[in-house]
Amino acid sequence: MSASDRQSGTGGCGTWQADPALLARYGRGELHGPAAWSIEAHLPRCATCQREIGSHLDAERLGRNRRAVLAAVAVGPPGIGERALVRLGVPAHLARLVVVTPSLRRSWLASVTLVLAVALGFSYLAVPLVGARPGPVALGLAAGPAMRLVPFLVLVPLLPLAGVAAAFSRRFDPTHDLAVAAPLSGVQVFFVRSAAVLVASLVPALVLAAGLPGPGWLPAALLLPALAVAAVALAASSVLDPASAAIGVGAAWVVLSGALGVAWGSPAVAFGPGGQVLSGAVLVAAFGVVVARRGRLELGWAR
Amino acid sequence: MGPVSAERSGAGSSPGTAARGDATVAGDRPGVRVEGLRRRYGSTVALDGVDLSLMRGVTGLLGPNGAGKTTLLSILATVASPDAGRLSVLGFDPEDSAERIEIRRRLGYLPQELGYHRHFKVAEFLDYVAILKEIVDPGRRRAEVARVLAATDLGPVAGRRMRALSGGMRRRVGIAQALLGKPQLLVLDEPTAGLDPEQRLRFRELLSELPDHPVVVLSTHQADDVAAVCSEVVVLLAGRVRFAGTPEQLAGLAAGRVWVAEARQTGAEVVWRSGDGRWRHVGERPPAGAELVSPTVEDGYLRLAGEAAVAGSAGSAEGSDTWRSRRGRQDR
Repeated sequence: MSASDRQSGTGGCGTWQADPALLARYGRGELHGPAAWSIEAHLPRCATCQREIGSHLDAERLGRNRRAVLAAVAVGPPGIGERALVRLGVPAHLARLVVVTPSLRRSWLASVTLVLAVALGFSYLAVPLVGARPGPVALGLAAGPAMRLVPFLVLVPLLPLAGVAAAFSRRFDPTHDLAVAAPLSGVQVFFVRSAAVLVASLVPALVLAAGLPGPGWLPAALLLPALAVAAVALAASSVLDPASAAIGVGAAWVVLSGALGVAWGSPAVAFGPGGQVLSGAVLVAAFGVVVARRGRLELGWAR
Repeated sequence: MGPVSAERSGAGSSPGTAARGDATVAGDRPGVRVEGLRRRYGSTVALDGVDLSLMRGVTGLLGPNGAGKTTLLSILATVASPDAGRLSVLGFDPEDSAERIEIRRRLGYLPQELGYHRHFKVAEFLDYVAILKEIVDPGRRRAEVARVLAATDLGPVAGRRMRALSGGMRRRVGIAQALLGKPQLLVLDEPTAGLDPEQRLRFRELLSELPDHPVVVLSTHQADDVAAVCSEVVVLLAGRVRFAGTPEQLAGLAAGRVWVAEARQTGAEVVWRSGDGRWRHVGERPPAGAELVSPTVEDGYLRLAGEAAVAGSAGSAEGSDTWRSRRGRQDR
């Protein structure tokens, strides 16, 4: 208790009571730090001080505090995913925005995993679509067996695009209009959601890719082209709405990877050494566009 | 439609200023100024050269379904962009991305369809919207959520799932989220849809208690809401402003043109049977000896929009004004 405590011997708590001036300041919400903590420790044990503080309390302030406490209780504690993000250093408010991203739902992630698993199964079970052909073959696979990797290889860069499209689509995000009309709808939300979708899509893809037939470094080879395609979609989002950008870039990826595969005699050529160099260059260029046009990365209005 | 052309000349091409005049807002500047706003959706013209000035206070937007109310409100809320025209919102130009953010920092928006994630509880939803409104400090956010919960009497359901609420209750949550952050501009698209009479009364009180007198623009099908809370009213028909003025001025459009009778009479634009069993008529030429009555805002609106209200409300029976119009037509 503070030095100004008075000794009375008649208080409800025994031998001493809090200084009335301190009690008054506490009641008005003007007391902070150790003095406030002392009062708080003392009050539950002293009936006299409990009676006395009643005359110093601001009913309106108490009402506000009570409502805020009830609101906090109603909001509830953050979920596992949100807590994990905060532990990783993501600010709490951004973590809350991330966990409601439509394409981060369990159902969506389960669908992604299922689609990839089917594509993985295809790599083992399907009969080669074409026979071996002469010409350069990427990844150390014969052209015929490599054809069985096509669904998986094409899908990996497409899934983050689908996730981005869903994250910013009116159809998937019921709060889309509210988000657009809010000041945080700009580049901050854009990057936060896109990054979350990328991580959530690529992690299961890379994990499952470890089970693909072929060289052990194949999963790592998938990463750069997938990031490059996603970066191009983000850059295109400074011109088009995010969903249209993702769909357009996805279609371009399918056509381009198919054309490269036909030209070079292997569907996996986009992931070979040449493809890695090209992907790196595209990634850097697209990132430059994103940085330069970050002011245009926004939901709504001029689309 | 005779009455419309007559009132159109009164409203002019810039009806906001023509009907109100600058004198009514002496020393004040419009919160929102709209000039020549146009917006098309494919071949459908939603807004066809809208000119408007909105001052501090509550402005009601009346019009049949398809008149362009929601499009206009979504543009004011920076959710959609116009094809042409100039717009100034709270002194900011929404064409500029930085100024657009400034508008959003001062905006409370209730869309026609309030979307929410299925797992959200009421307080969680408000907390989420508060984050979107850049109220990132948890303490301030809780206090703000608590404030709007109390203002809309939603405290007892703060912990309930949004999907478990009635339509009227969800509308109140929508109003609550629009109030977060004490906005200077409130854009409310049919805020009273689904509210029962008591809730509508509470909503009116809420608007009248808003601190700092923000610019409020709301669309509604309830003419009595306009009469009760709006200091200004704008009638939008087929994407154009056909009237802008005070509710009294709108009611005045039907002065001498509203009569009641025991039986339905010919010569009226709109006819319906009121609660006392008598027929209420709104038309250009009351018959000789007709029992004229004082016009209401609804009468003024129906006289102005009678034809359009009937056409625009096809397939909808929600708006009592337009529903009555259609029934009047069918009765004739």
